[in-house]
Amino acid sequence: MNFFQWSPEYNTNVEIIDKQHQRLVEIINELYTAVMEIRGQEVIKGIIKSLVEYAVIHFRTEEEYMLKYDYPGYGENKKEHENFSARVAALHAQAKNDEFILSIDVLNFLKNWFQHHILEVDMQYKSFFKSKGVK
Amino acid sequence: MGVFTGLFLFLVLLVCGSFYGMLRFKTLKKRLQQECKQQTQVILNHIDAGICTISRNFIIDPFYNNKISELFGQKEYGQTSIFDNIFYILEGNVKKELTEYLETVFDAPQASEEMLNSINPVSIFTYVFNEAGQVIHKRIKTTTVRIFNENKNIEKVMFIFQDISLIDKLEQDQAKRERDLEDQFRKISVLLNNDREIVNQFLKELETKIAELKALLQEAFRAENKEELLGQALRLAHSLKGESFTMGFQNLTDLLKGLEALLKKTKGNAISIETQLEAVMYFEKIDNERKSLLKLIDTIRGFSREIQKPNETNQNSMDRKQLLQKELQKVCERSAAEEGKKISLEFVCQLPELHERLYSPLKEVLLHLIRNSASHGIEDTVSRLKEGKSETGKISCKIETTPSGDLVLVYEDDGRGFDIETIRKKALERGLVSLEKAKDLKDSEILSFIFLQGFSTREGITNVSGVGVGMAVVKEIMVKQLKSKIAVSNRFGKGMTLRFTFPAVHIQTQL
Repeated sequence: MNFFQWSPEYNTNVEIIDKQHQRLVEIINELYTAVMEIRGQEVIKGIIKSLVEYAVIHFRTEEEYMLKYDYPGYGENKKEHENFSARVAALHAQAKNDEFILSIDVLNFLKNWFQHHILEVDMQYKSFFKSKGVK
Repeated sequence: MGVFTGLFLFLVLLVCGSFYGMLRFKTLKKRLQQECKQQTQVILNHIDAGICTISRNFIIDPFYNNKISELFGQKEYGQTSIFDNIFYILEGNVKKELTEYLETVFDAPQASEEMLNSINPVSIFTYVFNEAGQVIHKRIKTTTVRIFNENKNIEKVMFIFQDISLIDKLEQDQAKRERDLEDQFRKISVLLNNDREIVNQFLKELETKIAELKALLQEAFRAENKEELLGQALRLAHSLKGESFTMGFQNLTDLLKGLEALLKKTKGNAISIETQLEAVMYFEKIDNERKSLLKLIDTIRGFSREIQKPNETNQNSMDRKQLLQKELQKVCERSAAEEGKKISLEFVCQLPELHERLYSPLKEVLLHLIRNSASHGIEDTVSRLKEGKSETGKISCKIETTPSGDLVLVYEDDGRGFDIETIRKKALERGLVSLEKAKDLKDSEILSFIFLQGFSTREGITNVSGVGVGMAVVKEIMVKQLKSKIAVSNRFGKGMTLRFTFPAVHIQTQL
């Protein structure tokens, strides 16, 4: 069972970014399944590791695009990326120190991130990139 | 003429010049003063404390900083009394003390600053105010500093206000955390010293039961037919809650109570995603609490290994009969304390040995029964005395064998017994029986309702009992697991007896 179902309205129409966003949805769904199956801390920790990797790659791609086309919302978007990275880094540190992580907290954090950042903040560049002819 | 005119003109110029010079000097002085004032104000505003000065008449000088407005939520101060502005919230007697204090400050220039601040009645005070409909409490630290003039008299008193709400709260939280940890440390140390076997037993069982709980929840989330599984999980959470409460593990008890309340709300096969997520959250916290407990116990054991060694051989030789008795005594004491009642427990086991297969189920059943007696059956001291009973309630459990080889458990208390009419009413309300039928039910039939899950005549969940789960667990273990027969005999107002009979044939095949 999926927590999020990818829908065409989530598309920014920049192919590589959409692929990466879909990867995040995949991670969220993986986490959701792990929570519902009460898979325990080890699985949650594995998912946090993939989140770290995801954040590094995706934010770099997105920021490169924004800089290349001189996107006016670059500053705001980057700031949110930094906040996300900081939170994920903190989770990663917790996982490494073998500290307890409440999986529902991570799930809620990702859900809110998806709903706010991807569906609201990122959508703002959709028309901008379209006007620049980016695909 | 020309000379005079020249002289006159010169004089005029001189006068004008000096006037001009004076004027210029005055403007310059004023400007400098103004700038100085502005700079002072800028400096004042950079200070992260509210600062103002007052003279003998307690009037606030125009020099005060923005932080004051921030702290006390007003715009203008200057030229009104400090009591009308900042200290208007103080109670009458504090106001009087503060006035006296300030008078002392002005009149005793020889006194030391420290001495004065030590008698300051507002050195720390709470400022309560309304902001956008919200009541806000601020903890404020006040220091006074005296400003002397050249005659060594006190000209002004400066007030420095610091908002210590956050620091205060952090310190309080930290202190509470330390207290809690110390408390738990102490409790577990005591447990380990006195009831080492019980703790070991509990932890062993806790691990298996939490694993069982996990399996039940996992299965319940997956399966179509959830009701039975969720019911089992509820009963397990209820039992575990009681046991951790008996051991004095409060965090674990609270978490299990939370899970119990959550599972109690589910109806039939329906369980929403939110509830499932919440259940997982409780489960994760419960399992983590178990791990923390293990860690804490390991630490304590490390500390007290030396002390415990001499007892070890003695403790290990404790047999299951003794262990059970000790555990039951503990439940009885804890439950009685929680309910604020006096209860004594008599435990007799005529078997030469208590088999492992019997030990665990009997223990669980007796724990529920004792908690139920303490919570519902046995009255408080006042009611008991009124009824002409002894102050201390009595519970007795006897395990014996009959000549034909059947095993019998007789459980008795001298509480109020079952109120048949209340149970009949409750059964009607719950729709368990129709109105006409309810009237004709025999007492024994009415009494069978107490073993149904969710059947409680009491509202609310406590640490001890109260969700109508306990008796359902008793029935499940005794009848389903041990194939026992149950007989209830009720003495309304006087007490009740439960008699469980395990046929010899089943005992032999099972053990």
